[in-house]
Amino acid sequence: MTATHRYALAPWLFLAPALALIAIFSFYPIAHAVFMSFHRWRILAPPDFIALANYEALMHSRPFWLALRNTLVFAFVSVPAGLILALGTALLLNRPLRARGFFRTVIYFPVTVSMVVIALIWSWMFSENYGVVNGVLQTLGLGPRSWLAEPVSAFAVIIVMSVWKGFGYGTVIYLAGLQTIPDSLYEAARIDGASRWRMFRHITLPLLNPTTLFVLVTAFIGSFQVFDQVYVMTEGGPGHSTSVLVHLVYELAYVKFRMGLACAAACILFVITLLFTFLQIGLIRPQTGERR
Amino acid sequence: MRALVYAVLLTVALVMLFPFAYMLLTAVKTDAQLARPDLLPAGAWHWENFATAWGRAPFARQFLNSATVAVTTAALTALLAAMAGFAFAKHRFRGRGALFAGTLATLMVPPQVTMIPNFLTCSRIGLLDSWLGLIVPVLPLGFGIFLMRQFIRGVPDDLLAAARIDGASELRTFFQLVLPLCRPALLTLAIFTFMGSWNSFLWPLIILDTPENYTVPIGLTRFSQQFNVEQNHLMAISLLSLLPGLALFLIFQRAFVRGMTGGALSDEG
Repeated sequence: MTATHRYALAPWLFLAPALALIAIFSFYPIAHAVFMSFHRWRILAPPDFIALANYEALMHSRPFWLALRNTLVFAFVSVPAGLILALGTALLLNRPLRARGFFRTVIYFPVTVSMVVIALIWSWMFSENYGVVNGVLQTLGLGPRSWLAEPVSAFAVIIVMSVWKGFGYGTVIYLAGLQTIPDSLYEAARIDGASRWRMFRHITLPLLNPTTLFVLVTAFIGSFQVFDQVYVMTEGGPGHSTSVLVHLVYELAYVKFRMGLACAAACILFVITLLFTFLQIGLIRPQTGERR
Repeated sequence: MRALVYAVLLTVALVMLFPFAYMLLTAVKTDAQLARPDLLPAGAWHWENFATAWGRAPFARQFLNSATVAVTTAALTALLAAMAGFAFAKHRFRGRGALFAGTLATLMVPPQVTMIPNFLTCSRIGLLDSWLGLIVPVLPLGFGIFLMRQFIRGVPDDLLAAARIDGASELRTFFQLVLPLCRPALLTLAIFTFMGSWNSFLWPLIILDTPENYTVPIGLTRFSQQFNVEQNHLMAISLLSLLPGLALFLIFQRAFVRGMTGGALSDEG
């Protein structure tokens, strides 16, 4: 296509609204957040340049380390668990089954539901006095537990619930990935007498690498952004025991009104996210690249 | 083997469905029954709980807010992303590669990083506690432009050239030729954006103030935080809040799947 004079202006007119919005609400705020992270800023008073003091304050703050630890625990438990469930269910569904569509729908459905609603249901399921979980335990002769009031069990419930809600996303992606693997490969392997496990190990898994990369990267990015369920179920408590980085950012900015400090925490979250994204791309891409 | 597969899948399905069933069973219990951990309501199912719950907060208003915001967000995203996607896919101009890379880069920015500066921007231009504030700063343009560009690249150049030879303006070519051809991609993008907006929580949480302006997730959360709220009412409203999404999901399942796998398997370009 030639860009004749008549059309030279056209692309810019088509781009202008979207690019303007991206500039104002995506690029400018990144710079602004970094700028603010170097200032003491409590909304009403003018910002006060303090260089790296916000970062230093975070390094010495227990809530920050708790939130960072919890975020990492959340990511490193929920992402692999979700990945395995997704791959497992996708493999089960990737065969001629009756009601295949039904199973896929049911597994994917929670992904489309708001986290707030899911968190409200699960809070009620695990509520101390009247929840169904303690009800079942009671009939088994086990005492009720206050699931959401104890740090470890509260965070465990949050993780289990998040995996339950989210893994169906990976199932659908893996199903699509599985369908791109040509049957001829399996037939050839079968003729060579390969076992099911060997076929899985040497055909399915390697050919799913790009899919796995995509699922891993999106899941990790998502898990660093965990917030809704924590806010609804525990508000980061008891103490800061179930707080996560985004919850800390929220609390610093909108409960304590320490905008500069909140931006510093947000910038740290940003760096961690980028680091993980590039690390995973670096780890998986070379393997997929060789084969192509 | 086959029986085992079905057994596993049935168990999974039960685990996936149970919380929703529990939500319904809770919603139709009497207040008194909530104090017992029984699964099933004893006696009649009290459907009138839905009506009672509906009247306990400005839910009608909040559902209307959510619907308006989600529909507008979806329509605006689809339109702006299609326009930009058209420019990136079918026009040559200086800086195209760099601008497209910049657009994609926004996908790597956690919304929590831009949230505080955007909050300040909105407060400066008076968008706090408003529909516009819920919509404009959080349009998923990076994802949308990527999706639309990929799709529009598949539109044959000859078709566009023919339209231009016939003397159609670029605007006409876009609206009468490109947009109709993009219907599947537009539908996918609009559905995803609608759901994202309908379910979104953190951004509305920080910019909304008055209960009349709440979206449904915020209204539900605030409702649940009142000390005198019974679970049957909370679950009734929660259940109602799922219905629009459930309807969309069941009607447009294929568009859902296409949208997700479009992102995952797109390096063929």
